[in-house]
Amino acid sequence: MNNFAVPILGIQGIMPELLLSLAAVLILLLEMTAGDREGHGALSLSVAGLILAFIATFGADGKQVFSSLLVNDNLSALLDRVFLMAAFLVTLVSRPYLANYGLAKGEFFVLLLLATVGMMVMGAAMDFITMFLGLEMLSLSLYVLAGFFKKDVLSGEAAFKYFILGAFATGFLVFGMAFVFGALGTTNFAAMAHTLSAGSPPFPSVPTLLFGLALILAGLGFKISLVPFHTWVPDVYTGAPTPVTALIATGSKAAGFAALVRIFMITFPGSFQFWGAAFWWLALLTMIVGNLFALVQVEIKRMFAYSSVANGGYLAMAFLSHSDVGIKALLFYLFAYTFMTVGVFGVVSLAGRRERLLISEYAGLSRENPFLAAVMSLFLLSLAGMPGTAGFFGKFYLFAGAVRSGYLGLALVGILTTILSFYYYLRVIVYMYMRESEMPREALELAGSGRTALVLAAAGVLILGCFPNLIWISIEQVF
Amino acid sequence: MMLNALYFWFFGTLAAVCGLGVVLSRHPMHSAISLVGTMIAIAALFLQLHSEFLAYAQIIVYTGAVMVLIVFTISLLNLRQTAGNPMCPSRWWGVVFVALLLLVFSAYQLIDKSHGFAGPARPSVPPDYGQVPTVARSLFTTYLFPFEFVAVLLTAAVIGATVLARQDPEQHPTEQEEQK
Amino acid sequence: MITLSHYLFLSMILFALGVTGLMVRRNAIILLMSVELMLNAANLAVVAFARFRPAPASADNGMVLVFMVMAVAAAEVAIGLAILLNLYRQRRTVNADELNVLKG
Repeated sequence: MNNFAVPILGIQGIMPELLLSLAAVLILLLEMTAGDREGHGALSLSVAGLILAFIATFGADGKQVFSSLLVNDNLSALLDRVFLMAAFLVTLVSRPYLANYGLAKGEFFVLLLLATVGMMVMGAAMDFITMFLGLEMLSLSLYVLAGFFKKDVLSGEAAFKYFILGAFATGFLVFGMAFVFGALGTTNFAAMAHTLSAGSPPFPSVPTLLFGLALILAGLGFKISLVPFHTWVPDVYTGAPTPVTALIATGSKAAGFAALVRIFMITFPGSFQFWGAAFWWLALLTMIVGNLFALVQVEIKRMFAYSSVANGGYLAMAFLSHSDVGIKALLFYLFAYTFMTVGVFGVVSLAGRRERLLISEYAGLSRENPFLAAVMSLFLLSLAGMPGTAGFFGKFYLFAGAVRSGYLGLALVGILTTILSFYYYLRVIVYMYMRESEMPREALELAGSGRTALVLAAAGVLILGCFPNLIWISIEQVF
Repeated sequence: MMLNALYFWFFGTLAAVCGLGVVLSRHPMHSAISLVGTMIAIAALFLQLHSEFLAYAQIIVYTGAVMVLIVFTISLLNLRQTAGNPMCPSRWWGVVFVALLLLVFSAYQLIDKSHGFAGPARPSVPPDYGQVPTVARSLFTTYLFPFEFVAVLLTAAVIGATVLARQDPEQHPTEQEEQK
Repeated sequence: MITLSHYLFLSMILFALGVTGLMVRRNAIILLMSVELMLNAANLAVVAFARFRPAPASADNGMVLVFMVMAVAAAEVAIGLAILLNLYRQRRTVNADELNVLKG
């Protein structure tokens, strides 16, 4: 007991996480004392917490904190900004959406903030332990959020399916971590890279390490819904409350990719010959299957679910590029993808008192609310990769990176499936502008915070599409 | 040495047989009791591997908390096996996958030339290896952040479980009417 | 002599049983228990590796990992049972095959 060393704290390194947790606790207290029934107080506190946390991400100093369990570098700061932006937009959309169902309760915002904290810890994790805890924080909050509509049969079923498949994936992840720990004797990424570069072979042999890495890839593959681990996606995306779907599609997916980047591209770049092929197949299958299934859907959330799967395929392509190029392209696309995906799900959340579930129900939206139809078109064009929108540059960087590393075929498949995706994205625009609604609806009113979120997302899509250099400057600083 | 092997084979077999019981029992309660058996057997194996702290934690957390919760829920919902086949034969691809995993791993261990798998354990471990003070010290120094973060995670879990499990009376007038 | 292989095989068998349970059983609460089986298998592998590895410095690291997995497993069960309870209130069943409002 005599050598009880007081650890060096790195409070400044976890400032954004602390601020968000604090906001979550304050919302809980507010809920208990004041009885904030319409969710206005919770919304303000969430927004304040998210903005402060966003500002705090600019304090990144590249140091490792808490005994190298977390790192506070430019990569984690940029990832934090992606997560915070997604959470911010989702929060703004959530209040009017929940108020519509009389369910604007503080707990929703608390769990949303805690899920964001989980993502941020995952993005900054330099150790299996912190990565795992961040992932579980994120997942547990999202399971509950997916089932937040307790009276809704769809929501309950979505929560159950998400939980069972998520827990299954966690099992694979933990089993994989066990073998990687066994092979290298540590759970710390920096120490692993050091062990490997120092030339000491994995214990007892290389296959133990590869077996562990394969299991980890499968576990995280579930979370970011790469084909063939995507089977839960359409059901969960359809059944969950739409703002929660937006968060699952953006923040949760971005956090999964962050963990993959930290493990595969930064810690084990030397084993590329083994895992490169796996990513090649996953990217190929995910792009093809995601886009083909999206083509035949009639429900809008189901279509966007498959479109989100397909986008995961494009993102997975980044792992085949040389690591710095790949990570930069991945980060850019994550920003672009977050804006456009939260945008489309935001429009779906707010387009009517009763949600429009079928694509055909979007007929005549341009008359009821020209603003909604216009921003929806913008997001759809961006998802399709139209020049002048964020999606164009995002896809361009990803495909260019793959071509430069010699994966011409894969890039070609990416381009072909993108062309295919035009069909199902444009179909929604055609319905909104060129078809008349069968039963006329009255003009739609949009709540203030929902409109703000959509304007911000649209602005993000346009700014990234016209001036990609603005964000590219900070992405260049990652290395 | 002999005793050591006997200990392993006894608890190892117990763990595997009880694990089989979890998967094969028709009634959820039988599965739960089998799972308790597996967990206790694993705790015993932790002891053999000189991880005392984890053996205690395994008993306290798993058999003490997790299994009590599961058994409580089974009795609360009065779950019985519904009619029909409890197994789903249409998912054979899953079983095939598992069998393949096991086969590949066994084959790999057999052909592996390094002696890590078949070699003896470290002959000597430090006397405080896996003891409560050792693990506690690293939990409160090196691993302070995970320790604190788990607290936040458990808070999130409590909030989440409460949100889902409580019945809010003012929002369900129909149920109140039913009770009257 | 009991070697690392013995422990890893046991861990593998338990993991495989967990996966099999998740694949073939339809009772939601048994699915939950199968997940616990998988996590326990992983914990056993970590502890065995920590004991058999030549370098002793890493032992605490593995034990903290196992401890965190246990803590998370407890949280996961709490959430899982709450989801299940809610499901049961809606449907009066916890049979995964009867969950077919979303078409799969």
